Amino acid sequence: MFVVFGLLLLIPLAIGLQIVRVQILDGSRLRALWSAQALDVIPIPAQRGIILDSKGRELVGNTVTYTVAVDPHIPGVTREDLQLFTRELAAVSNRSASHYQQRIRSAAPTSRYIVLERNISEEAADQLRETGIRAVILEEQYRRRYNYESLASHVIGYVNHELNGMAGIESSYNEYLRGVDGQRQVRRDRSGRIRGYVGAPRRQPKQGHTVISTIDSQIQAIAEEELRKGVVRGMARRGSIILMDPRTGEIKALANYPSFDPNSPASSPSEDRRNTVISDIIEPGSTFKLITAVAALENGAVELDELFDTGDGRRLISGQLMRDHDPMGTVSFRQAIQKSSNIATSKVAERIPSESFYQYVRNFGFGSHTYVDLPGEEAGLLRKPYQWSAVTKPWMSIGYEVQVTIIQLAQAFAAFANGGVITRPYIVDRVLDEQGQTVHRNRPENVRRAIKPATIEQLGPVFESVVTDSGTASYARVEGFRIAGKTGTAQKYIDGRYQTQYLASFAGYFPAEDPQYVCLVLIDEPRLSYYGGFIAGPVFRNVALRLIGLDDGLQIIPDEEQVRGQWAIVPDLRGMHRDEANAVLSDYNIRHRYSGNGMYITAQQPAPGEQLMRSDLLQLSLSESISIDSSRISEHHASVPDVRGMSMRKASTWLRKSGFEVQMVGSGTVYTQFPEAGGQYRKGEVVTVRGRARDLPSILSQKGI
Amino acid sequence: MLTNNFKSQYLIEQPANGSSSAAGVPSDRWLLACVIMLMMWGVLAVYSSIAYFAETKLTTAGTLVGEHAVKLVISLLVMVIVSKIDYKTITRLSRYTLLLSWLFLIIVTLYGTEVFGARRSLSLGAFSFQPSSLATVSLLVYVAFLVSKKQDYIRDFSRSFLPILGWILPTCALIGLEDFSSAALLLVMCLIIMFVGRASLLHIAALVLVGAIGAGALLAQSAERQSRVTNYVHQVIHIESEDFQLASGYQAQQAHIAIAQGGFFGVGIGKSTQRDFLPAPYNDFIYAIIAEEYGLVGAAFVLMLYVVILFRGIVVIAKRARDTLGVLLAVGCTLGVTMFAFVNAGVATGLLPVTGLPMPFISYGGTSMLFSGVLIGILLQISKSREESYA
Repeated sequence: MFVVFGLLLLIPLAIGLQIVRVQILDGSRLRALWSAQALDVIPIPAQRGIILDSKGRELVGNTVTYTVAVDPHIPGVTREDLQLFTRELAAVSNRSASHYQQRIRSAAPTSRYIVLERNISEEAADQLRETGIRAVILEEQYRRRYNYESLASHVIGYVNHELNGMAGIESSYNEYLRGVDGQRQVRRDRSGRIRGYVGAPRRQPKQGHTVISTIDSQIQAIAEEELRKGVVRGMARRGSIILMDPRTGEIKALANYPSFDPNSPASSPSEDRRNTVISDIIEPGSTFKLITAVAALENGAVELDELFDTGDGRRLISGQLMRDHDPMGTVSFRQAIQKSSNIATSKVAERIPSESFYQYVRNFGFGSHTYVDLPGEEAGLLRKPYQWSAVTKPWMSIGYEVQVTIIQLAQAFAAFANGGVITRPYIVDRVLDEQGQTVHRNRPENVRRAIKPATIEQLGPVFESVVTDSGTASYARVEGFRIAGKTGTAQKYIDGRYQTQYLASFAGYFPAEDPQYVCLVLIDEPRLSYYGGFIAGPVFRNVALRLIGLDDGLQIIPDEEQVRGQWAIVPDLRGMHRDEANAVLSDYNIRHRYSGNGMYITAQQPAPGEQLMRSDLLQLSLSESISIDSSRISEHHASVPDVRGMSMRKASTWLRKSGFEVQMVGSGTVYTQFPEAGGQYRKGEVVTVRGRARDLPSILSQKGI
Repeated sequence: MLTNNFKSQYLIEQPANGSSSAAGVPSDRWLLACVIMLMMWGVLAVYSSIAYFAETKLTTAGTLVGEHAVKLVISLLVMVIVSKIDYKTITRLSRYTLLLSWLFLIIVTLYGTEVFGARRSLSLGAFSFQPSSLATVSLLVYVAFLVSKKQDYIRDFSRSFLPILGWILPTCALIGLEDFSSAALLLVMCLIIMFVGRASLLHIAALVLVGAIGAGALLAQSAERQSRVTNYVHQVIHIESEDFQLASGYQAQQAHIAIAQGGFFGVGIGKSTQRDFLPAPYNDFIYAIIAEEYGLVGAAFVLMLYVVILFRGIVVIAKRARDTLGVLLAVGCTLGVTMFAFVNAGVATGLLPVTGLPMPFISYGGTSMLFSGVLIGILLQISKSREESYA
């Protein structure tokens, strides 16, 4: 018996030895195998940095959204569960339950991951989680939230699905914004599912840095609004605007119209997403005469009062015909700039040595990058003198045969405005880390001196005279306010010849005595007219006028008589009966047009207190009742009412009634508001209204003139 | 007496008085304690390892462990009931249960439920039942009975060896049709009983030779069995099977990883990770899970419990049994429990080829639990009915 027991005892002994053998001889290799099959490292996504404007408003933030998927093969999940779930999902989304059921049915029968919906909000995801159905897979995703939708979209840019910047600041500051993903170890099972976390995160994620832009969203909103109105008024294809501080090179606003919503960039054509201001090269036309004038004066080639005969407005140069827009006869050089005479300018240019002229153009920054901190900048095209033909110099002097970007042109005007120094334009002020420490800062960078101060002293008044009744930019005038600038009307060169399509532009700065803003407006293919002054001038003027309301550093010295001629102040017609409005408008001598059906006026464009060119139409919307149409507005969102022209107290009451918080700056009459009227925003959003003591336009409208 | 002659060979000290079982002699406490400890350990191990299986069965681990506990209680009840019945009654019954199990085995072969590539169980409504377990228990008891009955002429080939073989071989063949390893194990156990019962070594050796030939024939029949054997050879030599793409190689490797993970003291109760990778971790590979969670110490302790059962059964209870039948029955019943455990542990540690044998009292599974209870019940009965002089 003991024999049997002894023999059988060998088996457990062998087993024990085998365990020891496995553990000791091959233990480390087997444990490595275990790590390889059971352990995995997954990233803990870092939050992308936010982007603020210069006043600390959050332009871009992050939201968590969820992708909803189901695994119909999870044991214990019945068809009824799935049907119940699709109904729940339909309740929080805008698709029907049968749509989702169809998706589940049409998926591959073995599929264990059927995506039903993306971009579900956190609240909706919580609601879905409460159903407790195990088949549901909710996957967290950080998304970018562009708070003001299309506002400054070309500046901010957008991100791709991996949250990498594809354009704008998102792209050029991607490294700062991105952060560093953390790492966490997880344990997976045979089928790859995560069974649990292993220990604490191996590496904590480093959150992305905060980028503070030089853009002021309020100015940006004004620029965008006026640009849009300008493009619509000029019946143009598109338009661009840039506003810079000439003293530093900070870009205050930059916009292209049409723009796009960075929340869904793919829904706009790529053409609308391109930042025309830096990525398109154009022949600028007459605005380029600034460079010619500087080069001519500094070369001693011309005196301002020297007279030139422009004949009948036609001049043949080496077989190519150059025209003036109107025959001017004999004009001084001063008048040639004021009235934009091509012939006189080209005659002056011929006196400048080619090398010197080239050097001036070069010094102004043309033909090379401005190195603005935005992606996709073009350098333009400036040929060297030995490549020039006989017609190059005269044509270049009036802005042809040279290809530039809008930002280069703005940079040149900024140099003229700031006393002659080319500064590098920039759009990001500084980058802060999580603790608020500055990790990167852009400082004003003086590249080189391009103009002698004495030249500016001489030429400044000349360019100021452009913006007068006798100049080409009378439409850019703000009475009582000194603006200097130059109009441009360039024929577009497409398919090897100059077309009857134009680029109408105006570049200028204000106030002329102490320039604080440089603004360049370019309208592409206007059909209303092609004159830069008439098409781009009013945009510039409206921006300037509204900036005066915004920026206390700008002061207007009113002269009522002048204002009343060409411009009318729009009265407040909202809530009026149609007949009543007709009577008021005929008193004002304002032409108008109605849209919609009904007898009461619910909205007007331009807003009360704004100025309207007599030649333009006042747009009035009609409705049966006075209340604002609210069917489109969800309960959490509200449409920002137009409170401009109201007293601060009335504006604040109105805004609060609509569900917004109000931030009041100044007192008196509301001159400007941010966000702009008509935008849909979440209730509780802060609307900033700025009041000013009654100044010219409001006084005029109150008086009922 | 015959009994005394037989017993005096092994149990020299004790004089026979042939007295029947006396009231008041307690059953073997060691045995019972070991079984209960194994059962409790089994509950823990099953709870830890069954979650994944529970998911595929549309239920929770808790529910399944509840069922497991119910089976444990049934098994304990059966154990108690059997221990009250005189083992002579059971031996008389065994012939009929053996014949009945043959019938079941034939039915299973034709209509049974397929599990992991082999048909072993019979579904009767909600219960699934493995007739091979019934056959195993019946045969062990019946062989013990036959050997004790033919003790006088046990070395006679035609009068005793052939008739006994006439019961063993059909049973093993029927089991072996679907479950080769169980059949082989049963054959070995029967031979040990015969060896203890002083059958001719020559006859046994001849049978082993025939058995080896038969095994070869069965191997040639099924590619799956062949791959198991070739894998096995690899695995014992290298520990690590290179071609673990094969199902059995993969299982062996995962079991090894589990053991290596366990180390000396294990990863802790319920912290097994290999349960997600091993197939049937609650059954065939439960020993690997124990080695992972409780380490070498725990694995050795579980093994020790079976060794104690083996010791109490073969050395103590058999020695004190009142007659030859008791001795042989004790040996058979002890083997029926411990050999399964050893083979299961041997498979989990990679010493033996991968087969699907349960670990008695630990593995999740009703039939095995029930018949292990019967075996222990018989053992307890034998321990109670020992000769009084041994108290």
